[in-house]
Amino acid sequence: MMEITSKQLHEQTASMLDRAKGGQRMRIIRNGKPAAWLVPANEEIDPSWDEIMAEVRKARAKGGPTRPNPVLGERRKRHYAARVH
Amino acid sequence: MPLVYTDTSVLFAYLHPDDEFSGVVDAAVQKDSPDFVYWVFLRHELRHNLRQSRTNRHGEAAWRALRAAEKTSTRLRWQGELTADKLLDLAENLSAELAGDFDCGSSDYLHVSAARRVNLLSGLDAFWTCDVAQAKLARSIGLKTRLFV
Repeated sequence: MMEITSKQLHEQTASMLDRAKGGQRMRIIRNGKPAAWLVPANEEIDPSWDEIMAEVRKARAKGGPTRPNPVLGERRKRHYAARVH
Repeated sequence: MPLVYTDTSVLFAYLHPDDEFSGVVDAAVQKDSPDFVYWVFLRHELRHNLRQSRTNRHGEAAWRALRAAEKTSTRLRWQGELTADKLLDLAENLSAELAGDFDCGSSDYLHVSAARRVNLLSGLDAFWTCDVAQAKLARSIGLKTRLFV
């Protein structure tokens, strides 16, 4: 993946499109921040979080009991140094 | 999209609908639409905890969401530069400097060191965690930190 500025894209549009056609993925930077992607036409575009999380959000919407976060639980169990004093 | 380093506690909560922090983390993601830093240790810790949750209610949905996110190049943004040996050295250095000041476990030092490294290399918009002690450590080294409670 390469990064190009919006100015570069404006000034070298044909060249950048050729690169994309050749398989290069480019992130467009405007005002120092990522603004858009230029990807080859035959590539799939990454799904959004909304698409990825549809099933999870549907499950969450049903409600029900919550569980303690296991990552924090694991750390508390292992963090015995504070308990041995 | 803002680039956020999430502690594994946050990514787990985001993916698992029954987690105690699930609602607040999901609301934050819907508001900011960030992409997340992803690297070898975070992947291991996340996958391990999700695997162990696969048999509980909604565990399979969480696992499927993770696998879908891992197939993207943006939602979970893989950091090949964050190698285990390099990050263990950086975490060791941070621990040598601050272990007496912050009541954190070794993996907390590893995550905060990784976030600091990404921030130095390419800029990081925020560090998110559900861990109070880890949040204090992250703030102490200048990371813009959000604690979910």
